[in-house]
Amino acid sequence: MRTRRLTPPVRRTTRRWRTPPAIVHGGEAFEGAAVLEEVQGPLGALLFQGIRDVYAWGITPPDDRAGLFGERAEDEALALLRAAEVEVQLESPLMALVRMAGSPEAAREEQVALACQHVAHWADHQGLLGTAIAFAQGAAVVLPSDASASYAVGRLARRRAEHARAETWYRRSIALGRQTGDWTSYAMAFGGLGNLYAQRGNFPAARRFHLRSLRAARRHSLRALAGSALHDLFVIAAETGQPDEAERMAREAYALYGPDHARLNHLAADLAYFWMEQGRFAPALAVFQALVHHMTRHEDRVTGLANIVRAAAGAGDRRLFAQTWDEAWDGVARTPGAENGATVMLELARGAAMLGEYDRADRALERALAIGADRGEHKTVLTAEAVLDEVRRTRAARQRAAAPPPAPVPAGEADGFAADLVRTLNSSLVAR
Amino acid sequence: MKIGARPLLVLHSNESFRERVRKVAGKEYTFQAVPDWPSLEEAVRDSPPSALVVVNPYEDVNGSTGPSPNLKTLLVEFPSTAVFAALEIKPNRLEDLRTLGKWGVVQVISIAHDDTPQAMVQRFRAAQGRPLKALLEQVLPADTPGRARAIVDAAAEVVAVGGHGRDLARQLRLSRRTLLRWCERAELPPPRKLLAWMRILLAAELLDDPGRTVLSVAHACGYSSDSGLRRVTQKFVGASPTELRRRGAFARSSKVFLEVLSRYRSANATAT
Repeated sequence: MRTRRLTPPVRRTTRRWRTPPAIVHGGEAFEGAAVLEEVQGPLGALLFQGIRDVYAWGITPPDDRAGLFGERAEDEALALLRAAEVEVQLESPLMALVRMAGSPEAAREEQVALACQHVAHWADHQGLLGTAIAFAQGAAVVLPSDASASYAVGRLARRRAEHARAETWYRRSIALGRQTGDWTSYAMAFGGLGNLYAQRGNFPAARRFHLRSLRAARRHSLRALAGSALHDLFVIAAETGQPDEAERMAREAYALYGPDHARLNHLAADLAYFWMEQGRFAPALAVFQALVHHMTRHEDRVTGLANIVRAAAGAGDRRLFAQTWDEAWDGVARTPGAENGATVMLELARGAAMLGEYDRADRALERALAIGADRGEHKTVLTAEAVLDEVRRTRAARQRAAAPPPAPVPAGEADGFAADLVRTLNSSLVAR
Repeated sequence: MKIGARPLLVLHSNESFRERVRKVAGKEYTFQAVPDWPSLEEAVRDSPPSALVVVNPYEDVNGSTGPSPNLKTLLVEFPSTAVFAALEIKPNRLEDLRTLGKWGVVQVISIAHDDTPQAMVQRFRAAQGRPLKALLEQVLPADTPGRARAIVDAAAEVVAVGGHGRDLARQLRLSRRTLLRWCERAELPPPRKLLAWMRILLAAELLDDPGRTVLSVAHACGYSSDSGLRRVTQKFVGASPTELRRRGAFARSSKVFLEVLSRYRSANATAT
């Protein structure tokens, strides 16, 4: 019997390709300045020197690399490494950079790029985003035809809100992915561009890029990536007020993700929130309740509980509302500096307002305003002020008319989909 | 507009380092060692925008009190100048390095580490047109596409060394036809016009240097008298260099440049 060929054919072309140049500096004064802002002491000096060495080494042609650095360069870098007392996971990549400074002609591109990627990963984990971008960019400079290295820079730059820089690296990744047949990076870079444009509020362009990501993923049988693209398209449809299209995209994304996908929980949370915003509280509540067991981080759990409070209030479940309210409130009180404090309070207030519990709503909104103002979250503060205004007006009107709170909107087709999601989430919890 | 040889001004007491810089200068730069800060300021005043300045930030001061205030004065008087700080990098100097960045130093050379000729050549090339690029980054609107920014960046680099359209194409590793197409797609003016605008912005940047006279800016930009510069600024920005200087030359010129860019954008949107 003939064995099946599983490897896809590599696309070859004789056409001349022009790779768009990428922006290699953000607002920093000189190369490596971002490292200086984030890391102090001997480690800061070592990383600053290291990233400058990588850039200089990467752009120098291999034949000219001998004698690129001074004779004492390796010894001095070693002394800094000893003085820095670095974490175990950083020792090996930093040693690779020290050796590169000692014998630049013998160092290999793959080793240097790998060392840079490890440092970038460590820095990202430590919340040192400027350092992470610098080293990810170092890897991309050393391996100029590696689409995934370019994609990594784009992703980090987008997270740091360096939009122009992110865009040039994504576009570079797309061009390189097409040239080298790295279709995963190609599809992911289109997705990244889509997210970037969505972040800027340009939803039509974002949709176009996500569609291209989806087409690339489908063409090359990348199921998980296709699911991810559909998930992003669902978010855009929801943001642009196309509920039917949004739900269709969410269903397709759910089918492609399967039960074990890492982003399934995010999809479920996004979808439940979308239903809640639409006034379909019963299916949203079922999904939020199933999701909360999957949340291991304290902050995520508190957000989940706040969503349950609002959905329970919308569905008219006073007992669940009261039960979960205290847990969510205490959760915020336990972590005063948490980044989600204001939004959690806002959701609690919306829930309380729906049940006509205006004192609770007032209390939660005051906390939301205080936390939001402290953290400079202007959008949350504006929303909280609008909700507070509405709560006060409704309270006054109710007192005049003594009318009951509004009835929840019927769930319709969402119920079946929600049941499927809940079943999947519960079964994946059992499997774990 | 023609810009002459690129001066490389060096203020550093380390003789062996100075010699290494002299070797790097070769034919591309005109090496000139200066003995002290006032002489350096004098030399910078008459130098073209493509000039590079390499200094020891601790020249004439005790290293423990931070970089020399003379360097700060130089960068306040001539913010458009590309200044390199050559110093030994040690953990206790990180604060000084941050200060140098805030003052406007464009690049650092680490003595005894990357002060070899090959490394210095790379650093000099990378810093080409850096002050103008930094100013452009601040004024370009947030929604400017990345591709357009990359082309504008390259144009600033090319103009800083007196380059032309073909140099811009070479810088981006494109043919001139492809460059024209890329400019169209990025909703930018054609390369020649873009470079003309970059020259205006460069002249405006120099006009904002408090230490320069209008005549020295005209000379620095390759004009034999200030009337040549006046003609060009009148044509593009609708004001003479003196008027521009009074109102903030770069702010005014960049505003007109952005209006031109938005006209290209809207023309492109109408065409599609």
